Amino acid sequence: MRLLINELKTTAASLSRVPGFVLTTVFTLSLTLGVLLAAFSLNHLLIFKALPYPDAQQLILMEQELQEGERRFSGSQYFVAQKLMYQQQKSLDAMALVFRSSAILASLREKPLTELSYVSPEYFDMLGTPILMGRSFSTQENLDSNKASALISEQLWREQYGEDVEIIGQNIILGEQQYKIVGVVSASFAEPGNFADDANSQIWLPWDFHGQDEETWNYVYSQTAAIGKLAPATTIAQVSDEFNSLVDPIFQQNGRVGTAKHQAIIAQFQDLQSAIIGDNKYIALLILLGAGVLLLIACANIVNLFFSRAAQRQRALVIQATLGAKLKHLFFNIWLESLLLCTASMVIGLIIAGWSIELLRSVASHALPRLAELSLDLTAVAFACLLTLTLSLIFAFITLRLINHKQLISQLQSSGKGTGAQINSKVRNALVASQICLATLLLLVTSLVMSNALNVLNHPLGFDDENLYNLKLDIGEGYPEKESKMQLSRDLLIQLQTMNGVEQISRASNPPIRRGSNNTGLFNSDNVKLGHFSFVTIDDNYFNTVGLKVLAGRSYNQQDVRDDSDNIVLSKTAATKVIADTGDGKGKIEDLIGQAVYSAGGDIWTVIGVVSDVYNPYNHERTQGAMMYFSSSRTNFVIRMQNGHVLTKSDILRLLDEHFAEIKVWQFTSVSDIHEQLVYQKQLTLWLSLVLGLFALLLAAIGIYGVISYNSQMRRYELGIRMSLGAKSKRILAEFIGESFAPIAAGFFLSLVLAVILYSYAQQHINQWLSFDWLMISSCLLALIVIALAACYFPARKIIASDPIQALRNE
Amino acid sequence: MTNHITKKALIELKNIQKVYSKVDMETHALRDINMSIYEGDYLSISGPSGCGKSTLLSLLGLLDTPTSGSYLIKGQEVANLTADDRAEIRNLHIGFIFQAFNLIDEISVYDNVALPLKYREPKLSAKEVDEQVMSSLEKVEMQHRCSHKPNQLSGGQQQRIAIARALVGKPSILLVDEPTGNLDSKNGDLVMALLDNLNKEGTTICMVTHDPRYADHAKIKLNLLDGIILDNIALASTLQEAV
Repeated sequence: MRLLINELKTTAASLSRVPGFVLTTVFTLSLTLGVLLAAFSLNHLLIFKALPYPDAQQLILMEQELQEGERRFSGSQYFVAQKLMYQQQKSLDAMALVFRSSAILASLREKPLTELSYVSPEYFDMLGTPILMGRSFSTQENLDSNKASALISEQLWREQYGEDVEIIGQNIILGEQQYKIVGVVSASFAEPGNFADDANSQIWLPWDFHGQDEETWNYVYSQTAAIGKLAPATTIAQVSDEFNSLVDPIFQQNGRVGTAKHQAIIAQFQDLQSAIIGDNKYIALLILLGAGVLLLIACANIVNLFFSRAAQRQRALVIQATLGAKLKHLFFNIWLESLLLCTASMVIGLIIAGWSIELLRSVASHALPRLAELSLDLTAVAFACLLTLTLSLIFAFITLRLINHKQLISQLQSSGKGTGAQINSKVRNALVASQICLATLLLLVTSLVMSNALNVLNHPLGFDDENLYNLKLDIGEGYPEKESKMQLSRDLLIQLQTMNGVEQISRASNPPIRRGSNNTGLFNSDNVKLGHFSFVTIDDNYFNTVGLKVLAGRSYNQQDVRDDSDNIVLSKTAATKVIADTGDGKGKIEDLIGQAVYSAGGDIWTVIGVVSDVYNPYNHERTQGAMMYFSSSRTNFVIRMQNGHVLTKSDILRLLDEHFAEIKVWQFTSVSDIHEQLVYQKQLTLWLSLVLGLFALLLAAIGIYGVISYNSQMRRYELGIRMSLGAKSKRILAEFIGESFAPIAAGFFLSLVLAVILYSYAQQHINQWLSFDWLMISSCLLALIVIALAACYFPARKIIASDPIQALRNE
Repeated sequence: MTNHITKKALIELKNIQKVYSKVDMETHALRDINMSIYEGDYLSISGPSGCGKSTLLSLLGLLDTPTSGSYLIKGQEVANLTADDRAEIRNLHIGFIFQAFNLIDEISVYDNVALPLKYREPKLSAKEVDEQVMSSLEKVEMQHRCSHKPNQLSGGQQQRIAIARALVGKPSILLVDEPTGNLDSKNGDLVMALLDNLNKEGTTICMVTHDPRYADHAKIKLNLLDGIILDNIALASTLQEAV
């Protein structure tokens, strides 16, 4: 042990004399290890770590799919089907219903819009929900019990109720309904997020109070699902079969619409972990792959640094060989140094990984699931230790392979005048080619990801989202009649128009862009489906307010709005699709004006206009901008303010307090904020890939310069010979750069081949993350070529600029 | 024996100094070196280890730069020349033979010998290069080893290749640094015999050696000690003859 400690001290002292080598090695390795460990932790969490629920492997997510001929529609559920399964199923140990929604917490002064979930009582037991105070739902809150209980989150309890220890038994009012608080859910509860983009319920209410239609097949809902727990020895297939046999026959009798030859509603069940993770595992794997490639580049850099170090230590190694040191002794010596460096890098890497995880949690919680559970755990630390040991052994082994033991002995016998070790050119070229290949590959991938993100971020919306606001009001139960609602709508419009700075105002069911959509089918007279389009109901001033151009026909007029007319306006893309499926498919959009189209239920709509498209970043890939507009009078508003005027919620509340005291603000946002939220994930992707790309470029620059510099150091002697024979500097530079560029070109070529293969494979899985952009790719490749050329030029220049004798003497 | 009084010097060194400066000390490798080399001379430079022989040879070969003093080659002062100009002079007028051979292991014997011609401007044709390379190899009797790599040859053979390389460009002077230092006595004798023959054919040779046996092959012998030329036996006797 004392010997080992002495060896360590000697090694540390030796390293302290080469601070440049130590700093470069540790800097390079610790950064890449840090990124890799964070990526490893993420992958471990998403792919391997079980969900934090009891018997998590038995939990399944139960969703439905509507099959209509060749088409498949998923993501929305019939409450009828869910309830049917819940009440009659036999193959599950337990089943819970969940519906995510939001409501105004009217019992608080600010009346905030609060996220909540309607659940059946099994929900909390199945997920092992930790309860801070009180109790969870029990049989008291069974379906059809109509017991108005509520559970609130710990966050809500702390922020809005001042950690009141007497909270149990207090009442809250949501909308018009009063509930009694029976418990507080602990902040450690990891709510499963899958069918709803953000799982952040603050209040849980019994299923009975969701207020949606669960008796007919008229409506589907996207914010709902069921969670089941498989009985022992029961498979998902068996449960699916039970669902299909229970539900589909009833659907065939009561739920079919249109005349599609085949319609069915079938189970789309999967294990809860897969449902939560979804395609994000590919993202995580991509991140891990990127980090892995970075580590490979870093390792190639460090191997090169170790070569230089070995060259420096040649004399010391020669003396050891003289004194009888065998290969294993030299290996131990080199490995000890490598181990010290790798260990130091690992420690710093763990710290960097910890920071990276914190950063990821704070910025990417909307983009990736389960991030609240992400941490640097024992598995990651064990992985780090194993990786450190492996890397140290690899570095030492590779370095020793290149130090020829016999060559060391022969060096003792030479006079040593002007002799320089000449490393095999194949090794040199392989190092350079691998550096370039890896760096180019990483840059290509990041450029594809960045291109995609930029495409979305820079894509014009089709209208100006500045100074545009969306206002949704909760009018309560005080206007049950259609006529009273319409009058209220007109009154609200008039009052809102009086606010200072309002340029245009219109009524619409939804803002022009948003997360989610309402969709319905469009048919022709032969009941052939022309498309399944999202739709918005609007008034006569909507297109003016938003700034959409009427391309053919007209917009709605006030009569249309008053009469809830059967006229319809199509977006340009929707019109184009309809034309393509009509007649010979060669008509113009103007030809559609006055044409009749049909709903699934046979209602006749007349096309009166075609407007320009809106680009909704949320669903553009699916819809391509195809939309329909119906006329209606609503109590939701889209408001355009004049330049320099800002509309605030306080302005709205003041107006409502003055004129409509019973009406509450359900939601008030600027459309530009909505836009920002919709593209947040892409922005994050852009920044992450930019950082990754720059990091790859930096590592590649260090690596290539290091390798070429090492090459030039090794060839210094040879260059000295050439200079002594009369070679001029330009000639030597041209030859050196030319010879160095051959492996660089090989690396480029190999990376392009690998990139094509990877792109073909990856595209089908993560198509929405990749876009091909020649300008972006060319820029990245050009940057790398410039760096490679500079890396070839400067080291050689340094040698050529000095006297030949210095090169011959290896000074 | 060359009549130095009437002929112009090929190389002239005047008051040459070479000082190596480190952080806290200066080493005077050469002090006030004055010497001239004439066409056809066979000159040896001897002295104990560290006396500056190899430094002097490096300066003569334009591989190193004097700290001060004047160096003329064929009457041209080299102090103000650019690196490329010096490279051109090395290529055209100087053939250097190193103790450690300094052959490039990764290319063949043929390519090693052809290397100086590769750097010549204007470029030579492939035929001209081939003729000169083979002629040079024949002089050292190594033409049958054209396609071998240097590390496949013995020490003596490598030194002969190095000599062939030094001769291929038909230099004005051969600078030879310890040509037998890495050879056994038999090969050393062979190399010295080669050099003697070359001088008989008119090649100017300046050789550094520590071996007095080989130093005696030269017609002019310079002794160096601590960077200073101690005596110039042949020069003194020449001057006596002239007088």
